[in-house]
Amino acid sequence: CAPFAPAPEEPPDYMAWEAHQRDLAMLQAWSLDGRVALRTPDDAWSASLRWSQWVDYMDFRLRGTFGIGATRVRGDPGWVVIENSRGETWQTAEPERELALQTGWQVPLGMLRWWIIGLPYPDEEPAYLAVNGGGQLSELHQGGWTIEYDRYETVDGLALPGRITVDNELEGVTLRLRVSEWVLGDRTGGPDFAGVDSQQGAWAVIPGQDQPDE
Amino acid sequence: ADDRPGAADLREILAELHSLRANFEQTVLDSEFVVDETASGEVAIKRPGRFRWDYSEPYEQVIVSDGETMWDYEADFEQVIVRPMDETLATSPAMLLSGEGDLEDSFVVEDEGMQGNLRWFQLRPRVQDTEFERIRIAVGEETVELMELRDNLGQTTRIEFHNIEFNPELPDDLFHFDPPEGVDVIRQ
Repeated sequence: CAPFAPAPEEPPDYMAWEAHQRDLAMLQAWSLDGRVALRTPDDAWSASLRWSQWVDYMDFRLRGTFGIGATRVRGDPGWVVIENSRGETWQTAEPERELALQTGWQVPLGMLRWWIIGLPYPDEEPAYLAVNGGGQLSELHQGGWTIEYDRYETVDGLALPGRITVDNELEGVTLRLRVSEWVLGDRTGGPDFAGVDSQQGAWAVIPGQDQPDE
Repeated sequence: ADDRPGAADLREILAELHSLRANFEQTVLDSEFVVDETASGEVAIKRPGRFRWDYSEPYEQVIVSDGETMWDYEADFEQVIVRPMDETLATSPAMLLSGEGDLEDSFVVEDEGMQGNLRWFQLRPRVQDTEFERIRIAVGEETVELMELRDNLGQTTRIEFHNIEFNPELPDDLFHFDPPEGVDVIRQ
């Protein structure tokens, strides 16, 4: 047994977790910059990741070292366009299958989109869920994946994951992700988000909404 | 642009580059030329084939090649991926400067002339489905000072060198990477 008992972690605060879930659900748009390291049985690489999300619309960009091997996935869960830096494009309803072929990426984006902000995937009951003393997810088992939340940071008053590990033991896939910057959009609950952030550049309004004229 | 002796000049300039050490700034611009990512660190290059890119910002990452093996170390993930040097990197900035052989084998080289105090060359890949659609190299008094690589997504990776040491003495063991204690070594 351990030579000394580890410092007792704060007991899970389920009340705070309820409130935290409500806050996260109000989040209509977010963008993150980070680093990912993927390991599969036959491949391993690391890349920088820029992921912007507007309700169900995703703009997911991976970029390898020196900008090599850039891949971009844009669209909503039903239909996405995948482009890569060699000028190839695909349209598909199953981005994971194409991404796995092209880059070895096997983590389901539809689920990761929720895990990455610290929520379980809403359309499936998690097999296991653990909450920390701050009312945030500390570990989640869902869809055959284990997600560990190693670090949180507070952005505009909202606790968001700074470091997560997504692991599928059966498939032998491990994805490590570290977020260097979160930028959050409008959280008044309204879907019509328009964000212009000079440092990050203009964000597109949700497609179909008209661009506010500055 | 008319076909001035761009290729010959660039070949000569690169032939004089045996080694280099400098600080670098890497900026990635998206298709609308909005800054997407910036990184910086130190680079050392020793021809043929050896290079060491020590990224310090925004993440600590080291990419080293001794010409045969490449190490890609990420401090924060405590992981180093070790893989043989291969052609996918042939058109990467790392290889452009440190690679052997003639650029003209894989690129059509054109002289874009002087802009400010830099002389620009444009390189278009001869083969179609390469990583980069167009590469530009700028040369100062002594050697290469700036590279721009545009891929087919319209992204441009711009690498600028500062405090350049031209042809310094560089020990070979600089181009070898010994993983620190406890780091996950992944062989590809």
